[in-house]
Amino acid sequence: MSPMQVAVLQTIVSGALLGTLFGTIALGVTVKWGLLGIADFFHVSLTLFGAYVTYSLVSVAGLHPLATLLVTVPSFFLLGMALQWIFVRLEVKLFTSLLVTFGLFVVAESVITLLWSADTLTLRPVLPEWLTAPVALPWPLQQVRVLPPDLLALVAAIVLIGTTTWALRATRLGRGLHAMHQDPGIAEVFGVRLTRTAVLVAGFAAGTAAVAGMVVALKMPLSPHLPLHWLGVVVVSSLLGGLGRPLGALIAAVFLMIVQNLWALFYSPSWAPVIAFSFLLLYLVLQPLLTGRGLRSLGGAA
Amino acid sequence: MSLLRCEGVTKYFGGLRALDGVDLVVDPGEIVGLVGPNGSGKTTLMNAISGTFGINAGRVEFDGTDVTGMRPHQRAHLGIARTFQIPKPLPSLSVIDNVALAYTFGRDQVPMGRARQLAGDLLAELELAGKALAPVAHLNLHERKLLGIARALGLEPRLLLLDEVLAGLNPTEVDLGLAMITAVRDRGVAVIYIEHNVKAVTSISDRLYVLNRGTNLVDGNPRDVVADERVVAAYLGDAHADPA
Amino acid sequence: MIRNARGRGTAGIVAAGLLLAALPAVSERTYVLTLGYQLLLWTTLAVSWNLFSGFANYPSFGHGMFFGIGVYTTSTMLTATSLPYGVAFLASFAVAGGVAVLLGLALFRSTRFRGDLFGLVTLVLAFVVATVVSNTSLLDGGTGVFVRAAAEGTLLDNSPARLYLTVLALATLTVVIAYLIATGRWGLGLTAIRDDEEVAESSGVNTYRVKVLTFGLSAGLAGLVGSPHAVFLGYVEVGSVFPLSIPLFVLMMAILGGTTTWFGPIIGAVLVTAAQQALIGQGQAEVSQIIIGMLLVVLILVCPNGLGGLLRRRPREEVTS
Ligand SMILES: Nc1ncnc2c1ncn2[C@@H]1O[C@H](COP(=O)(O)OP(=O)(O)O)[C@@H](O)[C@H]1O
Ligand SMILES: [Mg+2]
Repeated sequence: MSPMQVAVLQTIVSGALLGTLFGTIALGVTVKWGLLGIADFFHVSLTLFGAYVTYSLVSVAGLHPLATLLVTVPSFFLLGMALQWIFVRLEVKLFTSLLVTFGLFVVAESVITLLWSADTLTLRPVLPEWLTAPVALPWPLQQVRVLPPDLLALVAAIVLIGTTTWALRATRLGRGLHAMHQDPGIAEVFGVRLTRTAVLVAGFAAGTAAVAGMVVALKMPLSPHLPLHWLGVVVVSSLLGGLGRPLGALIAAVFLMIVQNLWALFYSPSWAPVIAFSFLLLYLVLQPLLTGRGLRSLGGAA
Repeated sequence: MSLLRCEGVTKYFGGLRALDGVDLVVDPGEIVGLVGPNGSGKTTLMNAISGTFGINAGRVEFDGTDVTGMRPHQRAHLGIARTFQIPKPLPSLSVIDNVALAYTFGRDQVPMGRARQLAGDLLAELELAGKALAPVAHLNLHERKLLGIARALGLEPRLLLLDEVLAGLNPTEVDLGLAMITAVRDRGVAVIYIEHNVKAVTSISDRLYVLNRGTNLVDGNPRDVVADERVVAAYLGDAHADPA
Repeated sequence: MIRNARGRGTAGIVAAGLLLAALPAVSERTYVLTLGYQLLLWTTLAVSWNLFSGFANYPSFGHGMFFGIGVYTTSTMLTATSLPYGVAFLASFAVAGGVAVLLGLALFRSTRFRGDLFGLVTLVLAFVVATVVSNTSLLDGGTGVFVRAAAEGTLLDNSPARLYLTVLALATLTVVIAYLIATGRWGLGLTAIRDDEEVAESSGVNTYRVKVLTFGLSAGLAGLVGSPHAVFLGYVEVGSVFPLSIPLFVLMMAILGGTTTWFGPIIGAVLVTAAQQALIGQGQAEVSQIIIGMLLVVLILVCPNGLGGLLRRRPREEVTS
């Protein structure tokens, strides 16, 4: 292969792997938005919060990176449940949830700055070699290198999104959730416990943020304003994939990051962030012409 | 010349053909009754005439102008006014402002002060004057329906579309309503009157159209139409619970 | 003598504005004038946001973007051209309003773009505009723009008193516009749109035109007040002109004060700005940011229909949906 071909391949592969990370972050957003009627921007901040907690647990407490999940996942689960319980109690409407989580999103940046400072923090120096050394892909992509945290992102995405997609289709909770989304009154008659379902789902979503946060901490240097750069991709992939459909969000995120990385390779990287938004705007304009189900649940707005 | 002429009006909702080539003609100053079993497309035809949505085929002509592609407010300015099957009073506005809205945004764009005056007069005629300044939340069903009619009349229309305005009212209220519709017609306003209650509509209509499954079934003199066996069959096939 | 009620109301607002114009004569302390400037700036932003987003219930997350467009229009015209400040001032209105009109022409064709979807598209566009500004060397190019030197000798001349008076004039203008709209025919149309667009349309309201024009006016006023703000800042950079906290605060001020009235957002803006200034006075900026943000979040959670709704305890009447 020519160096150019290798560069293009490398760009596509790292873009796709970065996309799986964003797909994992979008998982919580798309499920809550599409099925609970909560537009949760704060989920993105929660992911970074998870990353910082992982950072501290590894660098200060000396925990094994994967062992941090034993701490972060349960505590985030509880946090997500508590927040959702408040939302249910106060009968928060879709738009109010958007405003409230947007507010939390802005506040979170300050909180993180306060707790961990605005400086960039990185785990890289304290990570074991097997987490930092690039590995070559098997034939025919042997010239392409990937970093272990990227493979971790891929595994996390497959496990979490696979499980969620299966659970939404096949389990009692998943079907109850769909029924509740269609018509809470009828769902309740058929024995779906509304508050419990909503709170559990939100707890699960927050738990996935903890996992994604762990990957983030291993993969990149941390700084408080990262969510600002993620928000666009996460929201756009949730919408493009069809709200409430994690697999759709994953595919959209992978696609967007490949396009964005290729753009950065050939043109100015500073324009790359606009790519996701252009796709969203394009989609919004074209959507009435297609019979896609993507924005169906948004049409009337709650 | 006829006031309203619908030709071959066709409307799909996804795969469902709600209207399939419906024709309808209304002359100035007449009451045209529009009946048909539930789901036969009456409300959809009204929406097509008032412009709530575009139609897939056919055309709608009002007073010699092709209005098929026009938006609802343009048709309102030309003189087409409507009520809604489920009354939709605007909850943030007082009763009088619900009506003043139509005067001030209607064809003549009457200034606000004058619009409120006219609205007050109209409400008095409809015996709603007592509630003019009340929030619409204080109105009962009958009054909500009256308010819907008042708002439509505030446009000073030449064609008034009434969608089941008497459904759910008691017999006394129905009689008052019928008298009011006749009075509106006597002022020179043509009326298309949709009603599920065939007896009520027959009593005041000059002509009657029957829709069935989105197509014209029969039309003509009300007495002949209701005696037509196809109409009887359509209704019996529809709902024996409501023979009307 | 002014005979009609709206004339009297307008005169009252203008009189209040004139009264506030005496402040520089009372105190020349920069701190006092800057506090007054902040109060009036946020008032203008909240009231102008409410013109469209509140009255018609189309909550926009793009008000900070229109404000920023005004800031950058002025900074660019002052530094890159030799035109007088007045031209930059008017251009700020025109560019911000023009962008909103174009956006409105595209979005309002379909009634899908309301509620969360309208909020999102305006937010997304804010990111796009910030990226465009930071990548265009004429506007900023990522290095920031020094406006202070270019503003010297202009109408504003970097003087706190003149900046205060300019923003006071804009606040008064905006409030008068809001008052006239709320009490007039146009406001009736906007309220009808807020309640039910189908009914508004069938009652003769050209909802498309009303929405596009009002959105343009609302954005134009935000751009207009961005103009003196470019001079106030002295040094203009993307990070401080387009932060997400601006649209957030504007929304929360208006909603807390009440979006159905012309004066509600004034109350919200004054309360929130006062609280913010008081907290900043306490010391650490980061901590006060957090406290004020959490305070707003909790208030919105507890009374999504504003403080007025809380006091009156009216049976549920949706402000935002
Ligand atoms: N907005 C709509 N979307 C989808 N289907 C509709 C819509 N409006 C009406 N329909 C369908 O079109 C058919 C005709 O409805 P309608 O005109 O309301 O009947 P009628 O008023 O005669 O009872 C029905 O099958 C109804 O379900
Ligand atoms: Mg009907």
